[in-house]
Amino acid sequence: MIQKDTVATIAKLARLEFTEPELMTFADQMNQILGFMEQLDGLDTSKIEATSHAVDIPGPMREDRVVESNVIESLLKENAPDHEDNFFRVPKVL
Amino acid sequence: MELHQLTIAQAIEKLAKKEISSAELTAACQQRIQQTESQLGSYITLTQEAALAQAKAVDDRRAKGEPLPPLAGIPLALKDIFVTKGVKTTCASRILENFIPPYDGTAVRKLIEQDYVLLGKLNMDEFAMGSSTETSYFKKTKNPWNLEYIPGGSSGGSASAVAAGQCLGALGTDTGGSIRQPAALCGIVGIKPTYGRVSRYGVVAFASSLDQVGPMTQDVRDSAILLNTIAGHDPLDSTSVNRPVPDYTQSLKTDVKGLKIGVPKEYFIEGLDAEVKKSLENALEQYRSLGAEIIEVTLPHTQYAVPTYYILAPAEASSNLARYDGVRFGYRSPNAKNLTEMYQKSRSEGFGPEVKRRIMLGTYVLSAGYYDAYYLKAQKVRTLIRRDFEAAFQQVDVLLTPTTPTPAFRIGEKSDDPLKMYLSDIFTINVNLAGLPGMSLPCGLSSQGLPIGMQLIADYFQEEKIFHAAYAYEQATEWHRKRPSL
Amino acid sequence: MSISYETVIGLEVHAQLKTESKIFSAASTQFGAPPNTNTDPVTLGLPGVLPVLNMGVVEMAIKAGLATHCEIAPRSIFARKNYFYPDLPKGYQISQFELPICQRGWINIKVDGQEKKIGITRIHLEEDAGKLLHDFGDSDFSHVDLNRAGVPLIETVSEPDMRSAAEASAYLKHLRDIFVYLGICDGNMEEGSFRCDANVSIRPVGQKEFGTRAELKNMNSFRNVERAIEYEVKRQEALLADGKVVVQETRLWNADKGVSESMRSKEEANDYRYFPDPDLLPLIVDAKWVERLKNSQPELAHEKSLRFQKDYNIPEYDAEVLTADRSIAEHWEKSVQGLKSLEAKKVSNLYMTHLLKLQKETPETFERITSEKVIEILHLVESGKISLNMAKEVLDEVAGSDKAVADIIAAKGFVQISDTATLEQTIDKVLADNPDNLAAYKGGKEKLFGFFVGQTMKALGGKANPQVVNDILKKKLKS
Ligand SMILES: [Mg+2]
Ligand SMILES: [Zn+2]
Repeated sequence: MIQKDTVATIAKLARLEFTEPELMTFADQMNQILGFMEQLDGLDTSKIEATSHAVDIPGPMREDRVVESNVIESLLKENAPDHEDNFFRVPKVL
Repeated sequence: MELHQLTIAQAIEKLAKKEISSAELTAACQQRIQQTESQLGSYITLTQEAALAQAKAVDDRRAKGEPLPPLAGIPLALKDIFVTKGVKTTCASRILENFIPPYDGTAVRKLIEQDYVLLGKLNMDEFAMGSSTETSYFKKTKNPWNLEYIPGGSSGGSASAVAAGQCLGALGTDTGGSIRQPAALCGIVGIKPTYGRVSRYGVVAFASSLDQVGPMTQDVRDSAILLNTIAGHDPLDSTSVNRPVPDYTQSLKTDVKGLKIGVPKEYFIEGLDAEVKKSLENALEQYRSLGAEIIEVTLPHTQYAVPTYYILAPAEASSNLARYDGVRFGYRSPNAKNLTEMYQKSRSEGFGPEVKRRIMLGTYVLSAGYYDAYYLKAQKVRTLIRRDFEAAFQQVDVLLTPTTPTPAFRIGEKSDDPLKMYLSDIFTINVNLAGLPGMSLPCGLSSQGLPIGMQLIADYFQEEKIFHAAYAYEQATEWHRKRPSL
Repeated sequence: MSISYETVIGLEVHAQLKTESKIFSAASTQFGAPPNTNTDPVTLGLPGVLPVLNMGVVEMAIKAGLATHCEIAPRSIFARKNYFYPDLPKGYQISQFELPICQRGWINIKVDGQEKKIGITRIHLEEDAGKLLHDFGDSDFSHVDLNRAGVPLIETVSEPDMRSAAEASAYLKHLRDIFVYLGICDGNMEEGSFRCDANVSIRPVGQKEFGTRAELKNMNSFRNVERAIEYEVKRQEALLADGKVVVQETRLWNADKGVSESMRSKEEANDYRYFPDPDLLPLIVDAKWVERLKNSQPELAHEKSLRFQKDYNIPEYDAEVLTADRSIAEHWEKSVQGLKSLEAKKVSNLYMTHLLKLQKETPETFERITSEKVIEILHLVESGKISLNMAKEVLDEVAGSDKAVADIIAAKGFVQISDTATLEQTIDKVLADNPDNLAAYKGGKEKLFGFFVGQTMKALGGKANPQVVNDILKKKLKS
């Protein structure tokens, strides 16, 4: 069973914040869902390999070549929440 | 027949013969949108003027006798998960509410190269997380067959728009059934190709090892036409497979004599709606009468698909969604007083509850001490699920299953019970886990007048077999001609 | 009685690879570009982008692995290391975790004449993060520059085999020399293209188990690595002497204060949630590729130095100096091979006293001094036409202009006087003009030999052939 403080720790890792009641709800829901996942415990997978990709081919590689891109200008202008000159700006990192 | 009701194939023909212009066709769709959008809520963004301009440009070129690509001037729409240069791309999330991408994704670029007309961006579950299009930050999309019902999800806006004639066709994405389930619930055709068949570059990632792009159309031929356009190897997507793309319209044959259709017994479970079951039985009977051979097969690990999926997909999502941090683009909370708050408040205010729930789940199953028990375990079960299919395809050409356990449910019916919602993907999820191609096509209407869909699944890169089986069935039945009376 | 401790050190070294483009995208890696201009949608972590691996990066990592006697993995896996920081655009770093590309290698180091083998646990591929500026513009903010984000790195993790700061420094220098020689890294610690973290612990001599280690960061020179380790050893010894314990933590070296400071407060227990990156399929390296790279590996500094000592009979010191820079070593060897009778040692003197200085002080113009030019000039020395000192001046001119060697010599009026009659005449005059010194020399002050040489040279405007002057003087002074 996941306790509220575990949920709080996970939230911190995920950079999310919740109110107390939200934490309670999440703990309940997560317990319900994780409980549902317990049915996997019944399967013996000790000799089974993990599948992390749906395709079974070697990863492709590209030539070491530069392709110019100029997306930064419009990104800074149209999308950056805050910027100064050519920099993205964030609250001071202490 | 009104113009907005044309299939893509019909429109291509009429445009070529100059019976209609692209501007007329586009205007007809826009008029249909204007007429129905307040009821349906299919679109997040409309690109009205740009669409008409694109259409007129194509008409001009056609008038000059320039050679044009097949899809030139065809008005289509995109799920708002496709990155479109200069056109707002929100993924139905507040965190991307004002995001204007500086680049086009590969599937979209292929449509642009065909001179398609973009009508707008379609509603969806936030970051494609949901099965009902109720988790969108902007609006709930309604099912055009009955406005009290959900259209399915996450590509619910796409399904609703295609079914209602708000566009001739659309692209969706499918991570656990997000193309096939809404296609089934809205009575249209939706295909999720083999993982690696269509590039994921420029598609906002939900769960990278499961996501796949696919067409959502009125019929099987249109599906083949659109897949022809978007399929193929992309050097910008390492998981895209370098393998020739056949002309899928060549597979549209009506003769299925000797075709072996497998029916997995695990799909005919207790929770299966009686009318859905009946429709499936009718479909099997139809195939039998067309000369196909029906074979019962077993996919013994079917019941593990949902728990496996709800470990793997949130895990990948928790990492994929870490880039929404308020630094470079997207929402930044005005309430943040320091760096930690910038992260926490931007993400907490920017993401909706379902997205947060999945980020939490995913973070948990990857965290120290739980990785082996959840994540690694699920990856191993994924192997077992793949093997089930591999064995089945030793015996049969395609598998036939219901797409969903029930027809569309009411808006709000499952939104407070995440687990119940997750179970509505029970028949589609394992196809993503295995990476196989799967299509949903209409096969009935419930007594309440809601569409019922069936799913055809084939082996890796055997989309042709799906198109073949689907087309034969479609031509023998009338379900694909049924339209909501809206 | 106090216990004596043994120091245990392991190093983690990050080396930036000298590729044109980034590890997972086609953005440029050029150093010094305006902020955020070496970016593209992938570098910026925009929604929808995907990584594609740069083959050049893999090739360089294999070269590094081969040069450090590692096994090259036929199959390795990229993983995501998840954490939030403004310089990390995707919220995760793509790295290698469980299956790195290189494993189980070693290199030899030499400290106080003693050779020692240092084990290398692994070399893995990963992407660099961007940079945060804390003192630009408005001081309430930090500024993010993502030019460095996605620059390819190899991280080399050593075994905890080093027992002193000197060994750590020797290992680090050797590793850098190898990477620079391979042409895969420019090895610049100040600019951060070669960075080192040190894991340091101490244990009572004779004890098998390791003590608790501290991880030292932020040491941007070899000197600072040594200082930081020495400081850390003293700090840990003092703690234990006080009956306290060493805590496992990350400590930042403050070079100005000469102390390390705990980072603990900033870094709450991190959980990186590593998992295989679903966007990148396994990296498959086939044996033929490795074989091809093995065959094209350059001779490394250490081997080259041994060979120079053996083949050219030059001292170890000279060989080490010459081979420290691959281009100089090759330059020198080509020159020596083009000469007939001049001793290799003389050529190495010329390089060590003069050409290395030129290369360092005026690298832009040094390129003009090709081995061919050096050979041409030294041929004149061999044949006695000019002196070695004149040769140096000619070399300076060669670097400074595009003039032909012959023209430079003509313009300078460089002609060496080797004619015995002229020299004898001059020497006789020098001896006659300095009777006191002559008497002193004959009385046993043999140091005055140099005085007579100098006077003779002066009289002939420095153009006398010193060898011939020496011979004649010796003869005359004996009589
Ligand atoms: Mg490390
Ligand atoms: Zn590292």
